[in-house]
Amino acid sequence: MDSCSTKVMFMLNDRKLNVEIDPRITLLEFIRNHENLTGTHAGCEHGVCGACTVLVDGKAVRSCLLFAVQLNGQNVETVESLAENNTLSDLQRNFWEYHGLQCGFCTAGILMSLTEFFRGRSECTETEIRELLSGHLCRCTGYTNIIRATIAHARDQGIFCDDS
Amino acid sequence: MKPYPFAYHRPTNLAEALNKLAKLPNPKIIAGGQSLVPMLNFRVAQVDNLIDLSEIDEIKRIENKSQYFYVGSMVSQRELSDDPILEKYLPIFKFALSHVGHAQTRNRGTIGGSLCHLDPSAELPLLAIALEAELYVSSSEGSRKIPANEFAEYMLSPSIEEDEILTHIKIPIKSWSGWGFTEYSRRHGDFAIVAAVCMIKWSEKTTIEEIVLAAGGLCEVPFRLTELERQLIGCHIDQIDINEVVPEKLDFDALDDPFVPAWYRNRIASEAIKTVFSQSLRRSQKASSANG
Repeated sequence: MDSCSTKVMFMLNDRKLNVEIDPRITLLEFIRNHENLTGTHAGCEHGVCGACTVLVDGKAVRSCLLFAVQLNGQNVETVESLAENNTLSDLQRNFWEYHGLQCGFCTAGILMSLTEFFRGRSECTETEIRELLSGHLCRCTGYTNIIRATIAHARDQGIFCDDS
Repeated sequence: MKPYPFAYHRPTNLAEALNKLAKLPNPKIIAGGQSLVPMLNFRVAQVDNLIDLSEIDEIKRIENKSQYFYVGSMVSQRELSDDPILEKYLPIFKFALSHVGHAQTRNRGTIGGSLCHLDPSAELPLLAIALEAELYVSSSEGSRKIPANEFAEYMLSPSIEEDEILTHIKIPIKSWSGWGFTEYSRRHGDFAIVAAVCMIKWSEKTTIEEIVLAAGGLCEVPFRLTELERQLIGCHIDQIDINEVVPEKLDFDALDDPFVPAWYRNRIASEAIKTVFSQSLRRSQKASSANG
């Protein structure tokens, strides 16, 4: 319905976008189908699974529960923003080394939630990590390696407090 | 998955939003959208005009007055939970907020959105009722105040007119001696099958002077268990056997569905109420021993 198209301006991975879009297009659909950033995955599309999690103004949110037109003036970061020049970020490298994924479907969302979690944090516990990961469904790993990878990253940053 | 087509509006002040709400056909307010967008995606809800309140600064404030907390309806659940003084004055609110969805939905979900959506098992309406919050709504005609228990009229149906917008709530700050909050759900972050709240004020550290017991998820809307409250007021701490006061099977007109039958909700509610009462006792004892 073109008559309803709405203008919106926002940042996507440090790129300024000025677009006119149908309001019913979710941020998820916009990222994947309009911008071809397919690292963000479409899972349940009603906010339960966490596969589509991205950062908006630094906060982890479900991109399936947001319309792109709602993002006026805001800053969106997707999983594509993590690696620099094909070099994995420290968090991604830990997921690689500790095998924190199997099929990888949920991984992009988890990495984005953890990116928010670790920014500016001076300490973290396993309980907090588990609590955060409860917002993501992983059907392969049973979470064990995801938690190992995350704790390894926290140790690398020197902020892990053992509360087990 | 896509909703039906709609037009989108992003007013920058309340008057403009109220005007649009009154004039546009089939309008709907979107706050954080964490419940509305799934409903639109599934086409359970259908709107022609979506009015986004996210750029209206006047309904995004948090203020701590000495008597109450003022919370704008567009304050996110995350912002309120992060407020540095919330824990000091309303620790139960801070604790209960950690049960609202997941961190990733609390980043978007708002206080006002959850109250107006009025899901039977949502934590915020339960807290508003237990804490006797006052809800303020505006229309182009003026503003009015609605007590939380009157606001929660029927399932998913607050007592708010079609042209009204919830602008802010006031949560009274009272010095309770102890409090308890629990929630039973299949998985953490799921909708609660039953949630319960208890707050107690003792006189002379031994007799119940005031008590609030409330349950959510059990019936169409959260409610106070006034009968039980009456029974407990004036009781001496040594005389209360909570297992005797709260029957094993409650008999409320509970929600009933194939996964969670009414009798089961009533059983769980009985346990939840005993749990929050015991939590309140423990917290009161801790507080009184800390005070010497």
